[in-house]
Amino acid sequence: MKKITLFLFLLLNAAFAKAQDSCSTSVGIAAGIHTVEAVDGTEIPTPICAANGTGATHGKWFKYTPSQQYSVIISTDYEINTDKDTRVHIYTGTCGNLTCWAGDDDNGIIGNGYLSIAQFDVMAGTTYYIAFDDRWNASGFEFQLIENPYVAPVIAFIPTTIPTSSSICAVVDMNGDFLDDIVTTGTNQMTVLYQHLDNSPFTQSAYPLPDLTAAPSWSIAAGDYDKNGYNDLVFGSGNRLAVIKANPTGTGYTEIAYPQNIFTQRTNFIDVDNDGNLDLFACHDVAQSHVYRNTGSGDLLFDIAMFPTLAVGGNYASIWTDYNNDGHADMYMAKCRGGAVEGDPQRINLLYENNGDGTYTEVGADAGVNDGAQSWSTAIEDFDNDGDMDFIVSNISDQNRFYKNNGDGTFTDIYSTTGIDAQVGSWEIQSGDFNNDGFVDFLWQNNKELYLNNGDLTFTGYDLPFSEGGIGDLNNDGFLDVQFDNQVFLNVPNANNWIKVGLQGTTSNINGIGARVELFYANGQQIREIRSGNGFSHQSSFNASFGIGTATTIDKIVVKWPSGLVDEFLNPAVNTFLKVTEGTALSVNQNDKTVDFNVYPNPARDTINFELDNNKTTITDAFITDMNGKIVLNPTSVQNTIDIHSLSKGSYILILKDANKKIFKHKIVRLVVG
Amino acid sequence: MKQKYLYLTLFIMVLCACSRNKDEQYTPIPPTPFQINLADVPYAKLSDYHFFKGDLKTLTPTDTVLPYKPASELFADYAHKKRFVWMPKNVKATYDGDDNVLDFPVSTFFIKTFFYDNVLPSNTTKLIETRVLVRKPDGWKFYDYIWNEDQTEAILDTDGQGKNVPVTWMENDIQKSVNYKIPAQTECATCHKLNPTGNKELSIPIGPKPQNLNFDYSYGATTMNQLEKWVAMGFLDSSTPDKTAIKSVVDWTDTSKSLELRARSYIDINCAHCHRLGAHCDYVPQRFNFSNTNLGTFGICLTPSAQLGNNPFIINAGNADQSMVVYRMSSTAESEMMPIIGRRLVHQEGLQLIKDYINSLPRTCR
Repeated sequence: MKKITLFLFLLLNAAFAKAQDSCSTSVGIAAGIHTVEAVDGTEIPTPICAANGTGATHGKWFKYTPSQQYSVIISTDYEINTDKDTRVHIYTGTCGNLTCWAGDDDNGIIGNGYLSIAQFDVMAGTTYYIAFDDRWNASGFEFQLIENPYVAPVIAFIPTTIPTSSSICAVVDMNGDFLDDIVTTGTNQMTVLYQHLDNSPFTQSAYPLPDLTAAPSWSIAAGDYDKNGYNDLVFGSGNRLAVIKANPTGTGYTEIAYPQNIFTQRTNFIDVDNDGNLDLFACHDVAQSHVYRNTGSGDLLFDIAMFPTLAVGGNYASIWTDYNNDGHADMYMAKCRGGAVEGDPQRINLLYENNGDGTYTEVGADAGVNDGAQSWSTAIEDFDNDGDMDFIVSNISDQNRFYKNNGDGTFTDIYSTTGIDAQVGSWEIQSGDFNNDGFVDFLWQNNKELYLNNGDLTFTGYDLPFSEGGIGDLNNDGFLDVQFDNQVFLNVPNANNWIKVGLQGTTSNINGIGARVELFYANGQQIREIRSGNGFSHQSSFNASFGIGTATTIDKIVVKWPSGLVDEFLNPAVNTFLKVTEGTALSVNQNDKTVDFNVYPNPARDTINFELDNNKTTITDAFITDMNGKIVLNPTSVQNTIDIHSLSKGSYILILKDANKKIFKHKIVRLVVG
Repeated sequence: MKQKYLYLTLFIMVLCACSRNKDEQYTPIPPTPFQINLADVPYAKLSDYHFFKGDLKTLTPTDTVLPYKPASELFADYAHKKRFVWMPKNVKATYDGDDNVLDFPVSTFFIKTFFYDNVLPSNTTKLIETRVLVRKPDGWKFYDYIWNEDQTEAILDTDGQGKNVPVTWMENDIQKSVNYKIPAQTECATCHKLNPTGNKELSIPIGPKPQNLNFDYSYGATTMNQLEKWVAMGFLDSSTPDKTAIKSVVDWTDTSKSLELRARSYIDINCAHCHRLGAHCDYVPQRFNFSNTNLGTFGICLTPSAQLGNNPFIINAGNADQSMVVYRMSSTAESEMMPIIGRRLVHQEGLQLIKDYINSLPRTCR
């Protein structure tokens, strides 16, 4: 009897051993400790779900079907396995048609560090295949499957595939409906994938660009520089840039080529001289950056004298921002130059303060942001929601910087207290409020790709399957998505509320580039700036995206235009899109309360007088606009009296700017006595 | 019989002597490189230098203009190159390390012509550009001469914005095409610069280093080690270490040499002008110079500072398909490819060499 029992036992054991040798004969397991005698099964686990590629010749297979949702750990990282070397793959799907779900090679810390720990979520009723391989070693070991309570991920993105591809990305409205579209490029052509309301599939249009002199191989930016209602683009390559101009209906594009050599880095459409027309700025890697002046009649002319910068190279990323809150866009330049010594101007970051008169002054040293490390890119946002813009500089050498704006024209580096990992090396850094909690987060290419803002000037890092791309709302659900290569990573919404604001300029440039959008609500205040060309290479949405967390109302949205006009919306609807056309909701009589401002007579017939009391300041600009924000009277010299004979009767806005760059507005009325 | 030949020889000698005297009465000998006025350089045309004689496009050197070649060449979209060096009498270059460009005297010229053979439709040779590097008193200067369609002259590029020249040719029975890029003036210093002391960026040549010149070159009638030839010509100081003492690269196409030597040589000439201390990309950790004996900083199992694709190491030993160098050498996307400028095509043969080399290494990267 005993002999037969033993024989049967051995037979069963042999059968048991064979049963782990392939996917189809894998053994079902539950949570607990399991023994692998040796990795000697014939079916090699494929595809490979862990690092270090091919080389395995055997596998060992198990399957696992949880009865409910769990956060699962599979680990060999135990003392009993010291000196062993394991690798594990976890699949969904069916044998012969498996898809990687998780995997690990060397997450373990015991001994030589070659043991494995894989952590992943599982869904109830789904079968997961667990396979070890002998990529490194076939010796047996013990492993444990641990079921922990499921914790919903803090943030998640679902990868979807698009029919075309670009790694220099533009996610921006191309047909004037304020929905973000996707631009991809190919040889002598570009394709636009148009988003539609109601989540119907993107439609696709290909536009030929014959004999294109510059592909967007280093950067892309958008802006409607000829104000025909359709965004134009600029392609930046290693030796040329090209402007891609939309026809009047947005149904065709023409290349405007330029003969000047430029090793293009970041480009921006930006109104350098604040004349209401977008000019073009282009960083040059190895020489002085280029500037192209908008003539006002649909042309951009190469004209470095329009905004002269240092006549040296190393110019990597120009980000336009009003860092001193004076209503004018300044510019921060991240600089990098290999082989240059510390202190070389080719690698010292610069801050160009806009003087408001078409000139700029470089103040980087005074401001404390003249970092001399090798910088490729900067994220500029009001990260602490205190009303001014802070800079996160992503460096390739030395250390990164978190320049917190002190509100007085200077900055303090607080990087060491932010909780952001010290790793350098990311050439791209981009920002947005990805979880709509009211605090702006950032995205880069270091180990933790996404840093969520904890709301207290600290950040927590998370792994993502992507690290850069065009950022916008690609399914119109109020949550920021990211396009890179042929994928769109759709942000899985949470319960937070939001609002998107899209601008249409009239006196200012039509995109509102350089405008500031402010949101006021129960939790405080947030700022967004509208930018063409943000980060190192991509173009993201022109819409300002705000999260408001669990708040359900917004007190007001204020839009401060480059023209000086201010529009204000009280109590806008949440979880929707708000379009703001310049001058349609002017906030009048918003004056600095510390300075008395008199306008008289009002209504007036011939002349209007104004004065600021107490000699606290002097007026540098005075002009009058109609109620749509269009300038109707712009005296060439500033007196305290303006002749308004030329105005027809009606209501206007008198706008004054003082030497401290403050703005005063007063509604006036012209009477015509018959 | 002997006497007859003696008379004949004497007769010929007298004839020749007479002819020489006769010549001196006629047109003076055209100016030679010895008469280059550095202050007037750059000349408007390549022929103005008189580096070459006869039909200019044959690039037949005059006088002491000396051809040379580095053991392994930088890939330039399959363009061939003819290189020459010249310096005045009584000045010499001196040795500054096996892996550094020789210290050349003022008035040294390098003349390097890029061309294609078997250019379609007529299977002709097409000269594209001749780059002239000259050491002036205030440093090395770079000039580019662009060949005309007739191939009779190369004209100084005063535009400096770079130029595309489409070429279609037969490369070993395979038709290839490229939009060949003549560089813009500002691009020269991206590669042709070094900051050796940490104090100042200097413009430099790249190829003429002892490690690259240390092999036998055929000078027509004679074959000689190039370093020894340069010493014999008076171009190089004789205190230069002996050829056996110089750690030298090999010709990467020489299959009799080890994969490692061939790959290290290829990588040095294609990558180390930026990826070495003091060069354009020295702020990332890999050091690709041949003289770097540290395999870790050379790149084996080195984590790249920027992640692209699924390539956890610069050189993933034993795993070429997941090595960053292979990814970047295979790319033609401007923001990803390596070298970063200077090519538009993938060098298939060089790529294969690097893959073979990486796959020959034991898998040690974790």
